[in-house]
Amino acid sequence: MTDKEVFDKVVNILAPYAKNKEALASATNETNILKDLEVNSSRLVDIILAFEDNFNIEVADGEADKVTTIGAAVSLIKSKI
Amino acid sequence: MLNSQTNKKFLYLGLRVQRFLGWLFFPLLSSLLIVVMKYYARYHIYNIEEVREKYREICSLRKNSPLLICPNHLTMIDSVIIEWALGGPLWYWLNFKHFAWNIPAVENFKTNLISRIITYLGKCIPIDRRGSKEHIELVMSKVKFLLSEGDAFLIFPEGTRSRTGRFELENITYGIGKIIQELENVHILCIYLRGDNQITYSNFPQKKEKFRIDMELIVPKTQYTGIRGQKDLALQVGKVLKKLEDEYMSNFKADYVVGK
Repeated sequence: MTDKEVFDKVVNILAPYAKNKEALASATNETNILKDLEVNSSRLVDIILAFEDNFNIEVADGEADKVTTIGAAVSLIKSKI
Repeated sequence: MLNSQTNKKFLYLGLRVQRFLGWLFFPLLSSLLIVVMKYYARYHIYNIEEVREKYREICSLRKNSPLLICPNHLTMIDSVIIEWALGGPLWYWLNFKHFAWNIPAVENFKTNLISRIITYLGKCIPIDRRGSKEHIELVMSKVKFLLSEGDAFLIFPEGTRSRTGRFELENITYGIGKIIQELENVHILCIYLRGDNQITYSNFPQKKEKFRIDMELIVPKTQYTGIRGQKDLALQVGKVLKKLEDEYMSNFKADYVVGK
């Protein structure tokens, strides 16, 4: 899977949780999931679980805490698939 | 490492001091709160005797196991109403571990000196919900320490007051799942509190409000580990609260449609 494919899939997973749809439409690797996309912090766990299910990976507690930007999510997923 | 252990010792000592001072001043604080609740606000709880009897039974059943009280959340004084409902002042004073700690938002906690003193003596630990990860972890370590000491703790699974006036299962936070996962045999007392005139959230219930309380004790278990386990445990709590709400609506508010 290329970075672009992972990136697109991550953006799709984030779509139902992002309140700021404009920021999502113009998302980059630097886009902050909580601040820029205005995702409710309580839903981060759901997003991580969606990553696990969609990419068939396992994310540890400590790793999940580091997923602050889309780029961080892509890097984490790429390191596991 | 040594520093971290020393800090923890001081932290836990601080909590024990807070608990002792809370106990010492409890007759004064509880009298004050009862005057405000009963005679100023004129609140009434329909089934207070039944609730207190059930809570005493639960407390004798759980012995020293951690007890986490998880209510729905509509006003800023829900925790006060629930504490009032669960026990009388003398019983609490003699069984102070059953008078639950809680974690109000820091903006409600530090408004003035009087509210700081009252909340300190009322077993509150302030939390800044937008605070750093380290701050949240510190508060959670206090919660786990007190629960492991046998003290009851009250946490709202929704994290904030329900904006729809109904229990919002989809907005539940999974922090309680993490606590349940990290401690042994955590008993969860799910409480549904609602006043006759409460349609949606507010700062305070209206004067002369009459409340009903329904509750159910569960000991959640999960086959999952990690964050999936935390979610599963938290959802088990949330589903019981949703069920209590549905029962309340069907028994007492058959014509209630707001927020549905």
